[in-house]
Amino acid sequence: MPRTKELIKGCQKGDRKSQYELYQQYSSGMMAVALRYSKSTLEAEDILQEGFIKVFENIKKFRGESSIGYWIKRIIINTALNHQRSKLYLYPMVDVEDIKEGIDSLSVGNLAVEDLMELIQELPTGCQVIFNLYAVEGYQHKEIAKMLDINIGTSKSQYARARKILMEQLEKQSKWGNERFQ
Amino acid sequence: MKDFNKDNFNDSIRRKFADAEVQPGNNVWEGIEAELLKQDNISMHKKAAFYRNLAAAVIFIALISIYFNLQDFTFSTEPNSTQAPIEIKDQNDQIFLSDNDVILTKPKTLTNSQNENGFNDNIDEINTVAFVGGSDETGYKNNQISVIQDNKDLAVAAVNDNLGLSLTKVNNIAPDALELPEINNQVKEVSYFAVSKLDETNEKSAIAWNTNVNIGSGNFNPNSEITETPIFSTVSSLNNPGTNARTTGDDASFSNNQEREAVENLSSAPMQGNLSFTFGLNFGVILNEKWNIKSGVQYGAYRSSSSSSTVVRDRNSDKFYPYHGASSSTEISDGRVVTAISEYELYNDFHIVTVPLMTSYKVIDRKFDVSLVAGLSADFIIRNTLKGSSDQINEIKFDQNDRQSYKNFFASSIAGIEVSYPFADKYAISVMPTYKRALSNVTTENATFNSMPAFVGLNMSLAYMF
Repeated sequence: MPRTKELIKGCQKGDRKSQYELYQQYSSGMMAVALRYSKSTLEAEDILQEGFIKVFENIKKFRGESSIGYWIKRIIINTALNHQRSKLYLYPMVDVEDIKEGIDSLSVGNLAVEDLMELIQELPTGCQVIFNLYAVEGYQHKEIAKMLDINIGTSKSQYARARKILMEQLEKQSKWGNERFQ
Repeated sequence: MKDFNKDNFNDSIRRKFADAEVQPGNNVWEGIEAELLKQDNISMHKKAAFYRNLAAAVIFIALISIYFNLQDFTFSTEPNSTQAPIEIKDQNDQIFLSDNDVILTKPKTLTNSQNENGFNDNIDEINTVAFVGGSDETGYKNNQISVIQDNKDLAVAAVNDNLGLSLTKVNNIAPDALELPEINNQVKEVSYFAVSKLDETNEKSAIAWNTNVNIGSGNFNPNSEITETPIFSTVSSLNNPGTNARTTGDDASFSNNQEREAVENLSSAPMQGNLSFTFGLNFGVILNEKWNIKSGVQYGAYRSSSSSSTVVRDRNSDKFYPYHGASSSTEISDGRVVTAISEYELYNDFHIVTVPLMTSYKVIDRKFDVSLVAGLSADFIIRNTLKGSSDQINEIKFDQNDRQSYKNFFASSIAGIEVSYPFADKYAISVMPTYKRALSNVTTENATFNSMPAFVGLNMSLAYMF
């Protein structure tokens, strides 16, 4: 932790070595975040690059009120949202109560992170962003609506749609897996 | 509605991604570094612009000061000339201005209550004698107006040759018959800065000599004023891709496309001027109180450095290799792998002997003297090396032709402000910030860019007056 503080101080002074070390420390984790919000590795790398440039531009404003990791993650997520904003095509609301719950958490637990990432990347952009914000980051629909300048109902419906698609995909994979072992 | 955010599905997804890591490609950092270097460059230019503006403001203020200082007001009065009374409305006194700036008043008209000599019997006669000027030696401050009152008697005050105050007591003399004492002092100059040193009739004009040793620090960066694009190179250390570089070339037929491509893929690496060290010895001729001419010899060791990108051309393959400060390793044709690490720096050292010829003009002559300094200098580059901060970088002959890029001699103009503190009669210490700029291109035909570098320096000196 003291080392991280030194790195932050170095970055605040514009020291390139410190910037590089901070990048090395957090780039892998942040790449995973960027991938969840993008459709391809290339796009994720763009988000990561843009996000870290913002990190180094604004690190003088970092006061240590939260962890540096959380602060960087917020910047990466905001960058990803800006990236996707123009592409956000939000589908009409669907009835949330109609969502079928056939897959339990064990089904997700058996999946590799890469496979789950792939499934999320295949979601329509609007669904993907809202699913990430709600299910993974833990934001409330009210907060998401404010962040994306949409109404709360839209946020809920997009999440429901994302979840429905994911469950269908997981079910398919589950069936395919069972058939293989029979 | 069910709160999906608290169900097992979301929890398990969160757990899955909590420690997820995916290694990004190397190009991500290179892109980040490129952008950061570009911003560094912009910020450096902004700083340079700020200091330029500051210097311009200082010079402007100095010029304004000189202008006002040269706007001297001269009172040329003939001795014993007849002065017309200065009429002041509703004023019973006449005011006279004597030969040398002395203001005198006497009653303008006689009234019934006045006697034949024009004095009022009922009140003590008050005639005002005032003078303007004086000097420190007599205890009178400049522009002081003194009023002398003498009961019943008219007193006339004047400033004598020694600037002492002399009073002439005149009893019962009619104002018209009053003869004002003749005063031969002349007020020669009344200027904005110094008013009426009346006793200094003989200006010091004898030429004196002085000498000083000085040490200082400066900033010299020939890469800062590059105006032309590099065409080709054997070795380049780069500033802005495609715009700035310092190169030498011995293969004119070689296409520059490859280098350009390498350069454009490369991050921007501004050459930064580092603090340097100078020292020298000057001799001066003091022409008069204001003007001084000095010359001497100065030696300066100046360093500029780049913290990142370089393009190196491999002579065996004629290929260009970009070096990135933090992340790249490059294999050149003979099998050597050159790894540029984040500490990697490229240093360019210049050793310059300068012969200045400067004039200084004293604008403030107080406890601390302030002089404006301007002049020209002849600059001789006696040594110029380019080297990297690691052995691997130094294996490549960066500087084998580098000296060919610069002329051995160039001329510069100098401007500065010298603040000095004289002590012990013959000594003075001074501080002088200077701005110096080459008057012409300092590069040779071998170089593919032009540069008119600027020096910014601060000198401290100890002077001895003969």
